Amino acid sequence: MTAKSIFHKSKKLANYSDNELDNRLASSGAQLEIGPFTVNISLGFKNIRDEFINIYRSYPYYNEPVILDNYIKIYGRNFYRTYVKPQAFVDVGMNDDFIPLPASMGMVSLEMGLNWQVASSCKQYLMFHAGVVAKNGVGLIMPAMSGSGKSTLAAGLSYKGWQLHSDEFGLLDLETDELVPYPRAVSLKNESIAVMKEWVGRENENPLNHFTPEFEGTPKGTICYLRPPEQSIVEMHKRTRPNVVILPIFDATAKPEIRPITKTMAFFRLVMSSANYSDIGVDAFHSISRIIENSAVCEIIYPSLDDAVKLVEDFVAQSLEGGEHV
Amino acid sequence: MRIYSEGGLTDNFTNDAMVYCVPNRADFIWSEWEDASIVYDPRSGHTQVLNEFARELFALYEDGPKTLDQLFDEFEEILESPLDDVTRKNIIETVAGFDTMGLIEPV
Repeated sequence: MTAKSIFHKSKKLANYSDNELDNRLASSGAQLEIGPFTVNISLGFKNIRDEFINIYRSYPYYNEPVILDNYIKIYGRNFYRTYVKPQAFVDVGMNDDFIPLPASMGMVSLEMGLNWQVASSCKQYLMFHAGVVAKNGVGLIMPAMSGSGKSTLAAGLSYKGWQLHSDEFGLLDLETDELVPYPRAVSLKNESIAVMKEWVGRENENPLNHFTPEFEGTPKGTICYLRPPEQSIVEMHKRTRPNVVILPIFDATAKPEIRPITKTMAFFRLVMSSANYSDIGVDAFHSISRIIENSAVCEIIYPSLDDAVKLVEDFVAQSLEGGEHV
Repeated sequence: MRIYSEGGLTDNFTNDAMVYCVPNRADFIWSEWEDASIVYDPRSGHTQVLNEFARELFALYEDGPKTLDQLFDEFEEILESPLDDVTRKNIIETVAGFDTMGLIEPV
């Protein structure tokens, strides 16, 4: 299925077969749209193309030239590094030295290369290192450090009916104060992989089809990527205003709990999670002030994904009942 | 970004004869919350939070340049009682923090 939207940059979306898409990726690249960004991706290794197609098959592709936001090419630098001891070199069109990974981990190179491009070049949106989801007019931002479980929580919510904006990059339109979806593959690490495979399996007959292979021995341990739910891809241009900010803390030994926090603390957690707050300056300050002013805020501490999802939905329901902000 | 509350900084700020003021061109932008005030400095891009005590002190500097002794006097008038040693120490540390963060500068 190909997503349809009036917001696509061109009405001429491609309807590639898997074979055609593979050929595109193997040659000059395929141009696809992920939320507000258009990226040209070319992949020099068959295993990476197969994994990519499995995850990104239903995204909108263009069959005519469009203005690109990002460019990434994964390739073998020479015969030896292509066929004998294959290594995935990353070219993002700039002079940046990425450490090449074995080609078997090429999907990791691709996702990290895309992360780097967005994190280093995005100035038109205020960017939060946060999981962001939305549902029925609720725009939820979950700023957190790596390892706090925000990706797992964002993915868990999205496979329970929430729209996945991102597990990594929350984007805010500074002019409209709307959250802009950027639904890429969800990056799962270590213990969270089994958790999400079980979680996705509750609602899907073939849950493993939603995942890439597990990539062991990366700098962050074992990594596996999860395809966003189909509805989140279809709705990749559906924006929502933020009105809930939750700081998630995973603690396997903790009792599930919603803890009140001050608006000042929530404000600074958003500031600290923003990769481009300093670059944007006073507009970012005003935007975060408005987000906090209009949001219900709390911290949740949780020992399991089931608990976390329940805490989030309980807090949102309480906020709705109380008529406070949400 | 730096977060500041009274007693948080320990810079030397002992020259009580110096006159300090809020920079004329600072154009600080404030976001006021129940528990604290957040200030954005467009010159540096820094964002800092002041608790109620620090905000009250800073408001005195916004009224005009003053020495530390003058600040003590004005704060005593607000409290309607003499300042004890702990409060004086907190004021000195808070004002030192203002100086470090560029919220005030010597005249």
